[in-house]
Amino acid sequence: MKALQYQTQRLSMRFFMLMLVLFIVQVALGLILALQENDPLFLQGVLNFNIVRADHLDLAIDWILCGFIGAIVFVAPLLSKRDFAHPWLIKFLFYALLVIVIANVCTQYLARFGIAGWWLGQPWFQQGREYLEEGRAVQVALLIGFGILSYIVLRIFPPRREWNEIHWGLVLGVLGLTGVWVFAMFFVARLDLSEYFRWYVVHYWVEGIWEIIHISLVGYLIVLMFHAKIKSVGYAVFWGVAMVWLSGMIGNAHHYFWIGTPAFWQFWGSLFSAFEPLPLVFCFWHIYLDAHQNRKPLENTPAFYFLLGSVLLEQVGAGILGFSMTFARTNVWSHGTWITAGHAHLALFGTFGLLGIAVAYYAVPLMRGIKGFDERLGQLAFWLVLVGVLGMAFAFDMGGTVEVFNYRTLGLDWFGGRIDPAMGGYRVALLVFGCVLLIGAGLTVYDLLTMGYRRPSAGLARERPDGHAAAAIGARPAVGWGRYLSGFEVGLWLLVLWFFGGIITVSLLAFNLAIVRSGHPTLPYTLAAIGYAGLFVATLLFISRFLTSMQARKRAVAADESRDDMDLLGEPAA
Amino acid sequence: MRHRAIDLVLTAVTTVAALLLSWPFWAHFEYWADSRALWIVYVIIGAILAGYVFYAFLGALHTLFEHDALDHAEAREAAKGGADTENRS
Repeated sequence: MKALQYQTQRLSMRFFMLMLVLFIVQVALGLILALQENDPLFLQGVLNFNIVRADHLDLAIDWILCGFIGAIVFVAPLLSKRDFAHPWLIKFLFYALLVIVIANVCTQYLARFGIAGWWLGQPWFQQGREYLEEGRAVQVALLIGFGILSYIVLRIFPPRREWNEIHWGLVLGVLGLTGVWVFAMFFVARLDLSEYFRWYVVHYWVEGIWEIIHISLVGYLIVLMFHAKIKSVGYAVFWGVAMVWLSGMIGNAHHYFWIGTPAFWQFWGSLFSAFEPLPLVFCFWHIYLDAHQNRKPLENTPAFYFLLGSVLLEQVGAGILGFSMTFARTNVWSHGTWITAGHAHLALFGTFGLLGIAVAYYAVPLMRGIKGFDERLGQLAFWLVLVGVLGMAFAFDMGGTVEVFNYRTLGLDWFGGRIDPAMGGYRVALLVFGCVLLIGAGLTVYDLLTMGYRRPSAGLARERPDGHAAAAIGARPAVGWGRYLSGFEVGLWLLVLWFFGGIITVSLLAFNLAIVRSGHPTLPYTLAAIGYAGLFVATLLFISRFLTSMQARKRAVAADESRDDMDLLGEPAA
Repeated sequence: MRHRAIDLVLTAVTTVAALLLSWPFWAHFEYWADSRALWIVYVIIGAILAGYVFYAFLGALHTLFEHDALDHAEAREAAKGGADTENRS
């Protein structure tokens, strides 16, 4: 295990801890929403559905931002080879962020009483625009906070001629966080124009700027974890970022379909966003290749688990599910239904949330000086989180398919009590998998909060100081599920995932057929069941296969060492 | 050359598929921004740009794999060099 190189890296700890607290609150809010989906009277009058949903959407941004800032504060000194010049500014940023989050959550509650805090023609407490619920006060404070973050990063980074692609990525990321956020504050009376700017934030800010930060952080984490060459990773980061913008600049128009814009946006939005998964496919290959540069065992298993989860759920949630609903002909059905929620949970939480946890798993043991921590709890937490969120996405997507048919095709009233029974089973499934996610989230938070303070388990005590399990002596080279994962096999797995993505796309296109619109849902229902179930099962199997092959390296090294030991003793190798 | 031909064919197929999937069948051509003449412009420019994005993706992916092959070759050479040194000593 490496040692912490710069003392000011420790400043990231507070952001990771806040991220974990917000993460558990976020999941708890989600569970309340799932309960209210099943019983609309649950907490009615105390915490109404619309308030909890607004907080859930806002916290989704807040907790991920905490993870991003923590990750940037952790890696910036490493990239700059020096400490931060103004640690107090980072501490100030943390407390400001804490106040902003509390204010944001609390002011949403005022919406119940119709209080927006109008002053000087601006809604200072809450403005009630979906995804941009926070009031002007919080928005201005966030803008200042992003400005401080940009200054901190630019101040610590070396002169520009020494920057590599990761420096550029992070600088573009923090400047973009600040610059694009300005569009969140554009509030104009014309609703269609106002929607343009709202989608600038939702798309360019989250799907563009966050993506740049994600690609840069993932790249640098790969350098740290696998000692990959910064030149090779830099190339991947450059093209990842370039393709995000080549496809996403006009691809943003997939948000303009139904806000009163001309029809050509439907064509351009569909066409360019169809290519938006390309950078995600590219980045997945770069992760695979750099993780297989050598066959050294993983130094920090939970960090890699969550990192792989982030990259693969980005592929599945943002890439495949996003692709399926990005065409005007499919989006006309899926827009604003549970299908969108399924995509959003995997794309937002899966991609960005899991990355924050991955960096926390990498950074926290270093900052606490822990050598050879018990990784099993982190691994279990990862699988619970993964199964929970994939199960929730399945419930959302299948429930959404039923919703599209009943609500959009048959035109049944949402509040008329007919759609509710049709979606009932999926509402229960949402709750069940939400509980699984909550348990996984709880274990993740417990593990990271108490890491280094818990008594080492008996299993860990038996391990060697270098982290290789003594029990693995005599282990055989990896075969079967744990064998070496070749590039050809990875290609096949990706093809399988995209094959199911194609079926999902056809299931949505099928709603355009006259026979379906006349009341026969068999085709879209069957295709959706095959597509979504196949996609999520294949995702689980692929992650399992990838991780088992990586874990097998540890056993292989232990087996090699045991052979060397036996050779030294003059005994025949097993 | 073979690579380039395959890439161009893949780009053409993908671009045509994306164009077909993206065509909004409810276009009404009623006003200037949605006139038939401008639709032809949208389709041509859209196809060129979309084709470029996919072609650039394929090119970048090839280079990524080439970098990987070079890194592996370097690592093999380094390991071989290390083994030779050990044998000589």
